[in-house]
Amino acid sequence: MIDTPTTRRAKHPETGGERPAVLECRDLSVHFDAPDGRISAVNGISFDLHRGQCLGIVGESGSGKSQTFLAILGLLASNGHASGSVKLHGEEILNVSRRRLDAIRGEKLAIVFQDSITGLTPHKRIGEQLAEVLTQHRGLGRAAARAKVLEMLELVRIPEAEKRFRMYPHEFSGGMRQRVMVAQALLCQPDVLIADEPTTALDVTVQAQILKLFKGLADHTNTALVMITHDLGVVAGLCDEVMVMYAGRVVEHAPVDELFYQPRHPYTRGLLACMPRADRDSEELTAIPGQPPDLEALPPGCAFAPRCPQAFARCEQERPSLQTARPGHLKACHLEELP
Amino acid sequence: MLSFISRRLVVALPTLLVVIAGSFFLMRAAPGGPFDADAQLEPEVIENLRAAYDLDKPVTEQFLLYMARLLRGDFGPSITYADYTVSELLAIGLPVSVKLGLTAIVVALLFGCLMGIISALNRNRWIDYVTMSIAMTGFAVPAFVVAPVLTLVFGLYLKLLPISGWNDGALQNMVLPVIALALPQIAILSRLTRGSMLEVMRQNYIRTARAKGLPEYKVVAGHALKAVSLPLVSYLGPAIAGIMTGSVIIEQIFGLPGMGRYFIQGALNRDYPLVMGTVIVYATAIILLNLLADVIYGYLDPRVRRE
Amino acid sequence: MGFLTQRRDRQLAAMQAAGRTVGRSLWQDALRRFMANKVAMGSVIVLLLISFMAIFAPLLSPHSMEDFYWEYILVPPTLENGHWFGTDSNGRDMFVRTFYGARVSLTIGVMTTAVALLIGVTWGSVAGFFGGRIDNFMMRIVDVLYALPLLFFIIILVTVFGRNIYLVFIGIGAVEWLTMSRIVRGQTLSVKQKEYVEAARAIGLSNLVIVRRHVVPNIVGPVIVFVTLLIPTTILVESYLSFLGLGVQEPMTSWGTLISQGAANIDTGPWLLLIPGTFLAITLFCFNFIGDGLRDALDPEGR
Repeated sequence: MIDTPTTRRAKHPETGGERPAVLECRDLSVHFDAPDGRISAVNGISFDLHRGQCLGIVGESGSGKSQTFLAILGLLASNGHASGSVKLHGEEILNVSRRRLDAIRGEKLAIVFQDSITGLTPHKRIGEQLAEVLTQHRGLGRAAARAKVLEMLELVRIPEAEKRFRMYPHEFSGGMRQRVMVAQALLCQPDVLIADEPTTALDVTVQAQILKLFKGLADHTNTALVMITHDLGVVAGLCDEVMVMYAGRVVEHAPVDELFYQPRHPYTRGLLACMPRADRDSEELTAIPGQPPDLEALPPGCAFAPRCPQAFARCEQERPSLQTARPGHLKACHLEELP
Repeated sequence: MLSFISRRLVVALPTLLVVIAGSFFLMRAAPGGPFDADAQLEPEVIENLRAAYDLDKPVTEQFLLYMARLLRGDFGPSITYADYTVSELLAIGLPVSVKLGLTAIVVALLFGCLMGIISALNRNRWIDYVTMSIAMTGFAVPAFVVAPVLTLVFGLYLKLLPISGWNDGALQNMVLPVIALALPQIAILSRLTRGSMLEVMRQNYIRTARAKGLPEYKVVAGHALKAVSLPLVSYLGPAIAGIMTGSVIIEQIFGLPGMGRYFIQGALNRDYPLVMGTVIVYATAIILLNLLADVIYGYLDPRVRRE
Repeated sequence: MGFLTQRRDRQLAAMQAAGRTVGRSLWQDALRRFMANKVAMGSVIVLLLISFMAIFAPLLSPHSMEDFYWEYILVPPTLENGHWFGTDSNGRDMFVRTFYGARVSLTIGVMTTAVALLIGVTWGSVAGFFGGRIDNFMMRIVDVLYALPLLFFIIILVTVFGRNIYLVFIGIGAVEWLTMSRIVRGQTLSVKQKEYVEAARAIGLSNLVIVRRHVVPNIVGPVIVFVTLLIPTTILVESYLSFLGLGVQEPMTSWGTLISQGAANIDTGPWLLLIPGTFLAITLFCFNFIGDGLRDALDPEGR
């Protein structure tokens, strides 16, 4: 029942696939059991992630971008089920035992969630919340963990780390809490850091600071970074590669420059047109017409067809598969296949 | 924390004063008096009796006299139990009620939390349904129905346990009253625990804790438990009030010489000092235990402590 | 010191949440969800049956509640002699007495709830609507009253002033309004701060219009839920008082009075306790199920 796009062999868009991937995701699908049936949230996602690479995942809410990575981390809600394959350093990690997952999460795979207000335990001191990552994975004692945590807090530019160590989340500002979340994710120097809309809940100026933090990370460490966002502006400054998702499927996957200058999918074009840009003197912001898709009632053809300005008869009948438009650039659209 | 407690105490005193004044004037406001039933007494005798209990003076003066005595720790003489002072009666009744009430609340907390947690961890499985049905039953069947049924089954049919009497708080005498008293609270506490547990486990910070690679027992113990206990602590005040009002009836049914019996006897006979004494003790207990609940709450939730 | 209110508000949060999604257009949705809830609908039917019997059973039965059948004293329930629920120690027909008791208990439940509703809604909406100092003062009074053993006051009230049924429900009503006022106040405050109320004010609608169009519809949901949960509470308090002999007096009777008489005869006539006890429990069950059902229907995201 799951429609699989042609599985793409692991190839880095620039280097042609010589480096081994840190994270290999193949044909990952997620569905939820709802009272009125099964809702398919993610369909056949495949991608590779390499050391030091930054992958942007772009899409509206409900596009399945967050669920994809929650599934990889084994953090789906209890009625969610994942299928396919996810390999970390060649080892399967999808649907493995809790014990195995606990060894990986926080240690090799770390995540920064969007909402730092509810994402930190309110009745536990910040220091304890951070230190327990180290005691759990590295077996560090109290003092050693504390020293390491203080070091990390300074690294993410939290002033007066000593004092902050003993404070509770509600005593921190939003930006400060998000830094704490980042610090928490970085403590074990994970191989993959997933940032799930880390700046959405923040003021613009604070957003810029947090992004700078990620930028520094992407540039100076070997950690592979996944930036989940609905903001193409975030992607532009940070990522090497971008995957655009719509209704649980990848519609376009390309190196960042190519995506921006030669988008192949009408949805991507629509997103780009929505971006307010300083270099373009347009008075009005455009928006993609229509509503985001209803996952419970997807059309048989292309999910974007109802909103697509260029849709034609075939789009409504046949779902386009993800195909190579040019080396390193994938898209799922019937448009340019016309004779 | 200290300033918080002292601030609460400052509010508690006026509250207590409201209780004292309220019940004092409420009783005096009604026509009639404690000696109405003794119709055969000579009018002069009644007058003398009234004078002996200060009842011949204006109500406000009576109140001031009473307060002055109270400040010296004297609850005055009982009218119905003519040979006793109220303090002596309280000294008999209080230990009984405290032992009964404390045992009931401990039993209720123990079983309530246990049932709630088991239910939440097995959500929507048969054990959850069974536990919650039991809780619902305990919720809808009041103690004064449960207690006679218990005496019927365990006392009269099975002849396992005594159906009344205190017997210096012997275990077999405590079992039935404690069950009858704790049952409604178990029902409420287990529902509360279950709901709280389900709610907390849905929180984002639980997901964060799991994402850190903590095993489930550390997630629950380190990140969930405090939050789960918050509504339970909030409910502690009402639970105690519930146990107290429940014990009034339970003491009647099982014939236990506790405060509740003295309160009812006092009220029925217009034994003003006795009613005042019991009400003051009840109110003080409720106020103090509420304060305790607030302190525990503040300890568990750092967001509240700051205020 | 906002502390007390804060943590109690938390207790009320679930109740108040019911108001979150209630807009005029959503009432039909809520009704549809409620009708789909089998347990709640079953409870409604059972309650209607009990109410029907409470009204008509005493009228239709050949026995009256005060007839003494000296030849049938303490007869267990049977279909043979016409006393389906048996008779009590005075030979009175329990079938009629049980439903007569239902009539009294249900009436008291509804009447006291109405008293509590009136006081609570007035108090809470005034406090919430005016806010500031008035609100602070009024809610402080509620805080103080909350900390009192109010049931003891009712007991003093009825023992001292005579055991009078009106006194019972005024007494209970005067005690049970506290939570209601908290709910209404919380809801009023939160509605007042909503954008659409600010918008309404900005376009110059008067306070009265705002209250009628925006505040009231949002309060109705949580209040209905609370009322269905308050009725069983008041029925329970009444039975409690009657059990102690302080509530409904002979020759009138209520479930609490019947249960009290049953408890006195528990060894010789257990049905005297079990029959009214069962009806009381079923009624409490039903109200609670309906309350839960209404809450779920009005706040579908709540659970």
